[in-house]
Amino acid sequence: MVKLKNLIISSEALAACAAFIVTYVCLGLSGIFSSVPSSLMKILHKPPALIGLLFLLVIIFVRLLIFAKARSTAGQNGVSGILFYMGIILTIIGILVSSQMRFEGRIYLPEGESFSGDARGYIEGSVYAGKRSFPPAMKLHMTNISPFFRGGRFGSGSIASELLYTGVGNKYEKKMKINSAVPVLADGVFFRIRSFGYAPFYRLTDSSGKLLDEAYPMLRLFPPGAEDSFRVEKQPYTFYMKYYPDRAVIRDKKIPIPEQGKGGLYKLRVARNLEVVFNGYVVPNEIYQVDSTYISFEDLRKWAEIEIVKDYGIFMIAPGLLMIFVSILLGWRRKTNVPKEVFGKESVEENR
Amino acid sequence: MNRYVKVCACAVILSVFAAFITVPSAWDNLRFKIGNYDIEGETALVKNAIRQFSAHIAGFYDSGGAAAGLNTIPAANMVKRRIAMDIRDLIDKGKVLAIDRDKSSVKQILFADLTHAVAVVDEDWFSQYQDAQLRARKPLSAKKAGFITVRYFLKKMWSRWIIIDYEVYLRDDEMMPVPFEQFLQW
Repeated sequence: MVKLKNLIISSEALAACAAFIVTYVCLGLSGIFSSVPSSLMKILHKPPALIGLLFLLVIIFVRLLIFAKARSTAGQNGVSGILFYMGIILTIIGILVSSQMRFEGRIYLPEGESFSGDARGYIEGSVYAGKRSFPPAMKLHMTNISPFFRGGRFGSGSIASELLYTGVGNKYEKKMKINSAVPVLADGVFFRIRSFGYAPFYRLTDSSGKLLDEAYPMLRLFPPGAEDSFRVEKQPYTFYMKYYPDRAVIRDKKIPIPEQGKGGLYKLRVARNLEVVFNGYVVPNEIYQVDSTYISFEDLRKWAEIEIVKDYGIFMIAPGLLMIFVSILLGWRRKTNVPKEVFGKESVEENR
Repeated sequence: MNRYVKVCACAVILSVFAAFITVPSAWDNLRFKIGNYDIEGETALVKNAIRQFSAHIAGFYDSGGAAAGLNTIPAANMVKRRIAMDIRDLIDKGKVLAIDRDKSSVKQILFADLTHAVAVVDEDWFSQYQDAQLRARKPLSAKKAGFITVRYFLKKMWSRWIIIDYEVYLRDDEMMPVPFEQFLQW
């Protein structure tokens, strides 16, 4: 038992554990063994990282007990040291809880539409769920989306939106503002806008006026100049579109820009398999002939892709990291006199 | 100090082993990242797949969509379905589209990993509508030339590169960046 205790509190065990976890995380973040690098949380949720963290938890816990006993024997409070160890313990427990309880998913939500919290409403392939997690029960109604395009060489921008949020058991709705920069917390769930686009309503008819199809395809047409495409069922066409809310930002002037209308306009290119059958700027509410069909764009909605994260582990990890940071500050300030011999050879001799 | 180094080295090796065995296709991804694969061979296979695709769809269009032609096209079912739908639409209107690729020039081939590739190709096509009913295939339109740039998305399945989607641009059109993260999930 003594030998096991000495092994656990030895510096080699701590170094080995730390080296294992750090190497595993670095390999995961580098993506050297995978097509796409994983996020930090997903790497820490994998079995090898969890096993390493469990070992680390045991080592740190035993060290905390020995440290606290040594400090009380010496008549010192050792606040920064205890805070440090407890911060690490809380962080590790938070990661372990997160691995089981984290739920993460993304939804598309156009203006004027609602999301009822149904698991089927999440974008396919976007859901990441721990074994004991479940989707947050809530209802969202998108009232307004405001994109802000900074323009310039990198075409960067940000998006803000207003939602009506109803949580579980809430009998009232509350207005909530979310954005693309910082996650917003409501009832333990984080919301953040990941991307934004436009959904132009199209109407496709044949030469006799018979309706072939109409819909609001959700296209990534932001920032201005970004192109996306959609296809229509039972038609051989692919429609490639760009949207310019302001005609002044149009760079490609090889094709004539229509003068009618004052607002935004679309750049439309239509391909029928390997042939381009239409290429030009189109104005909303005008009908254009595309090969043997006719198309018009009559309405425009904005949509946002919202990331929803529910993770109880974050509420342990964040205070744990804060405790570690505060303990380092305290220790640096006070130049603590933690006896270095506590975990060294002298204590090993004493315990034998 | 030596003990620390030995212990940490063992932990690092164990960690690398754990990372390797817990990621699917880890060995293939590693080979790709360090460049240990036959890039010239794979490039030639990709070019061959695109060449076969162009040749076979031309034949498929010319035959009016004979079902046997479908199996020869190195493309995903969604792509074949679109082509078949176009041909059926033309047949319903009493037409056949005779297409012929005159020239093609591969501008760029990018490998996202060992099983995903993107190829940008300049292609010159001639096309003409002909009467589907008459054996002599009477022309219904003048021969038209089309100068396009096609971005092909390919995936290697059962040791064979197949086209899973493509985008058609006019020459000198601005191309959007490849959505790699989305593409690797196809």
